[in-house]
Amino acid sequence: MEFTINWMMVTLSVLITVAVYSFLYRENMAFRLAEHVIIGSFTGHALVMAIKNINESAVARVSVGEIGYFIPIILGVLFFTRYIREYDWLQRYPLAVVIGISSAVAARSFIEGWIWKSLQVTISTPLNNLDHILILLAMLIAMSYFTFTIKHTGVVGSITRIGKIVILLVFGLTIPFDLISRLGSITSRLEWMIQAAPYVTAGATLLVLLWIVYDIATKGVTEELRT
Amino acid sequence: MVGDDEMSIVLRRHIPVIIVTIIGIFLFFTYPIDNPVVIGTAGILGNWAMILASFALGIGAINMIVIHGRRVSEMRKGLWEPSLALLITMAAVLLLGLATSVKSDEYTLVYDTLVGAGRLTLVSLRGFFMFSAFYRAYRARALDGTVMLIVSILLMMYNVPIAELFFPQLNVFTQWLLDVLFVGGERGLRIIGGIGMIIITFRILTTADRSWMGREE
Amino acid sequence: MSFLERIPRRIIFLTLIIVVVVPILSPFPLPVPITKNTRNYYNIIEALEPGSVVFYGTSVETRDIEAYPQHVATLKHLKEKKAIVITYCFGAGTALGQEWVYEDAGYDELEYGTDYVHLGFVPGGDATLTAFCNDMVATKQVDHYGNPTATMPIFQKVKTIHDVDLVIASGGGTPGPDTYARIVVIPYDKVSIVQVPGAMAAMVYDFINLKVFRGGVIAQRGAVEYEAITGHAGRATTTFAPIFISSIVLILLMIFGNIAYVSNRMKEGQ
Repeated sequence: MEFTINWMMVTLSVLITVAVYSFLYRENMAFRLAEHVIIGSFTGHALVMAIKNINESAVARVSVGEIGYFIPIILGVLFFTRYIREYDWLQRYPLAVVIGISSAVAARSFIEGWIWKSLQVTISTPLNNLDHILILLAMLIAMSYFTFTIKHTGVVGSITRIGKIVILLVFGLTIPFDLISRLGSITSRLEWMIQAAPYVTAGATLLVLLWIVYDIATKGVTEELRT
Repeated sequence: MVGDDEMSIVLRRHIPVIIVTIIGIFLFFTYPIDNPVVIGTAGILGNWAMILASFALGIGAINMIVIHGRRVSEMRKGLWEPSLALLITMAAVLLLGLATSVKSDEYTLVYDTLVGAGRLTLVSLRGFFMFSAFYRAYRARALDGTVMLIVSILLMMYNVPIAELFFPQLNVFTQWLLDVLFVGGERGLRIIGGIGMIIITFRILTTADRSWMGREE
Repeated sequence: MSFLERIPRRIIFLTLIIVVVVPILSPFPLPVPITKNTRNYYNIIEALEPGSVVFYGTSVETRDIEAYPQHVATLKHLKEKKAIVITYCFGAGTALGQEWVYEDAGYDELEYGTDYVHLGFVPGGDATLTAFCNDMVATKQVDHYGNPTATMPIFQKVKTIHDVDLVIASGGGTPGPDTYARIVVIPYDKVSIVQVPGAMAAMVYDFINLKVFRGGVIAQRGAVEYEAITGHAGRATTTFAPIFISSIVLILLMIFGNIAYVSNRMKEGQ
């Protein structure tokens, strides 16, 4: 076994993963350390990419004569005035630019992309087929649940109750997709650990198991463990 | 002086609001106009948004440094050690990325084994709790819960494909549920969600909502 | 019977680890029938002429078994069709992840800048994507590797989104496939297909029904189907067995847990 940088990083990765999974037994310092290392590493990476992007998109343009790109650089720096109480109002300027741009683009694209397209296709689809009729009905009934200008009593109440069932059907069909995705993440990590570093994985797992046995031996089977 | 206070309010509150409105209305209404100046201006504003988004990432990092730095300096029991680990890791990855480059073998190795793998690990941890929650929370208590329980089981059987291999008729039914009732319900939810988003953005653009500015002076 | 209603959480976790690890150690193949969404996705790419330009919004951040194999299989298929690929990433991590995908798909055999270009991380979400559609080079002046895009052969003929033949949307969050749908596909009426992990599957079903996306590779099952239909069996196929077994175990737990729940409530009622 060669103690290369690659081996060390792979070992570190396995140890961090096992430390994170030790949370499944109970919260502990190893988990907290591992979790914070992961968050720190991702924040560091995001910063590296942000600096790279500012350099390429703004600084590089200014250096070839596009003086106008000084403006977003200055605005970007103004973001950091939030940490100086006396001048924290200056951050409203870059925020105003970002919010103005994102609000307008979002509003336009939501109208065109989400609402208009959905209504256009639904209305123009001929109702010569039970499935098309049911799609339209399901859409209207689900929307009825969120109309609060009419009291949900009587006929309206019955419709909104059906609307609630339709919404629950949507959630019931959505959440398992997420679960399958998470099961895939678990499989992915365990598979990688077993293939990349089987001995380190086995050793780390054994350590965790010994810690669990020690914990149960000293504290007994608590009520928390029984739930 | 009175004039100074008025000037101060103009600078602190009115001008930012005017900026939001002008930029927002320009971008919203000029979109269909096929004019090179309009398209060019919109393009420049889009590039500015990209640059400002990069600066905003820095704010997140500084917040982390402030919060965790305080924990370390105050030596808060049980908190300072993980916070120190976070700060050291952040600094190490940042220095490596700046000293080498994101294309270097060293940085790619750190990303592969630490950043990417770590993120996947945290995501997968949620999977365990979801798995347990599906077993413990999905109970046939009332009609609502029973509907969710049944469709969830049907969808899991469809996804992996237990239904297709062993219960083909159930699979046909699940496919129909997805293609008809689910699509209809999802479309209704999306339209409602879209209307909500549009109302929020119009409130911001018409200055009815100024909560983004933070505290009143 | 009441035990089945209240199995301790930690036993559930241990059970899940065991049912995932055992098929990893002893893998077995699973027949996975091809669904119409995957077949449509395949057919759209299969119909591409050599030299077609594909704008590919990618989303690989980690070497997982959903998004990663979806991307690798798609790029291999695009390579076979001799399509020109432009990749664009919303996330800070996806730019690096995409490098691995290109490597695994064998793109080092092709000519960078002519056959494909990796634009990398483009922050700013909706607003930047809108600007990019109108002028690609002005928005992204350098690619992920720092090369100027203005001098690349691809961007001599591809200036705006109008020059793109196919849009492939992907993503596991926001910005993601709905962003591409709202900003690119619907306004510019582009032919588009989508690939998503399970977490985003719900949203794309309606877009597929609206014909915004003409086909979709959805979740790991979609990745397995696509690998089978393209003949490039990969990581999705070899790691599907644990998902299969763990889903069966969960379904049985849910069924027996509810049987125990109902029977206990009936006993209490008596």
